[in-house]
Amino acid sequence: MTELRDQIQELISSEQVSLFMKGTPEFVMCGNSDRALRALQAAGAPITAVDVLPDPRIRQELSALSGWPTIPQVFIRGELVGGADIVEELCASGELQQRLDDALGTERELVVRTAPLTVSPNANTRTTQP
Amino acid sequence: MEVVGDHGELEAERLGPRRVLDEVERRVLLRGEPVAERGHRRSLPRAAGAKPRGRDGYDQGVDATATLETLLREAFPGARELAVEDRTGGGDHFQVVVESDRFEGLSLVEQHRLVYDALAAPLRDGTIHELRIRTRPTARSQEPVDTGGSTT
Repeated sequence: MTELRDQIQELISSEQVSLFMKGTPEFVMCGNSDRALRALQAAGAPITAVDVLPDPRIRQELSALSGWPTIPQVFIRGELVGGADIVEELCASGELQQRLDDALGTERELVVRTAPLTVSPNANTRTTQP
Repeated sequence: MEVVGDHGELEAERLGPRRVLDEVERRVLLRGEPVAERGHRRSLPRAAGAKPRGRDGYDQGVDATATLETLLREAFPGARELAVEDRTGGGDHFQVVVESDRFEGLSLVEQHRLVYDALAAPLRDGTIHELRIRTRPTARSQEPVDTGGSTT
């Protein structure tokens, strides 16, 4: 099984727009995740959502990777855009759409999908690699 | 940062979908206000008594709003605007507004990182359950913020 952190890194790098949130787009479990989701949708982003709630290690590994302490977190093509406040602010100013246009082009597939992570039942005993 | 600020409260459930949307709309509307006129907001002290001492050695709990403000003032000396609002009165959901020349030339991510750095201790120990951040460089202070979101 791939290390959780590697899975997250791979997902952030490969997805056009990744949104790490509490809950799913169908059932949002936090007002801030909801704000980020709505802003991304308003800007026409193809969203790949990841629910951080199933295991606390998802959030720990994500924040260790990004250096960002809170949820939600939004990435465009691997680059951290920010949390709900920033995404909302960038959406309101039009800058979010511009960044999406620059990174992904204007012909975007407006989809919202979810990407589950595979979390081992006992990831704490993972083997350490150099 | 190893420890993650906890936004674990099920806010959407607590507030209901309509309430969440109202909050978003309110925030969009608020953008048009000059921040300086909103002034400093403080929650009332919650309870009299001895101040518990946080693990990181700062006053915790009795007036977390004041604690956050102190930390921010240390991190952003001479900030033109600095406000901490206890959004719910519960002492753990905060909105901070900082206008400082330290933000000059930085992206929003970098600006917010500076705020997170300043508030690392209360984020780490759970004093801050939810944090909303609004930053701006001082140079833009005379200009009303163009939200682009209120067209007719």
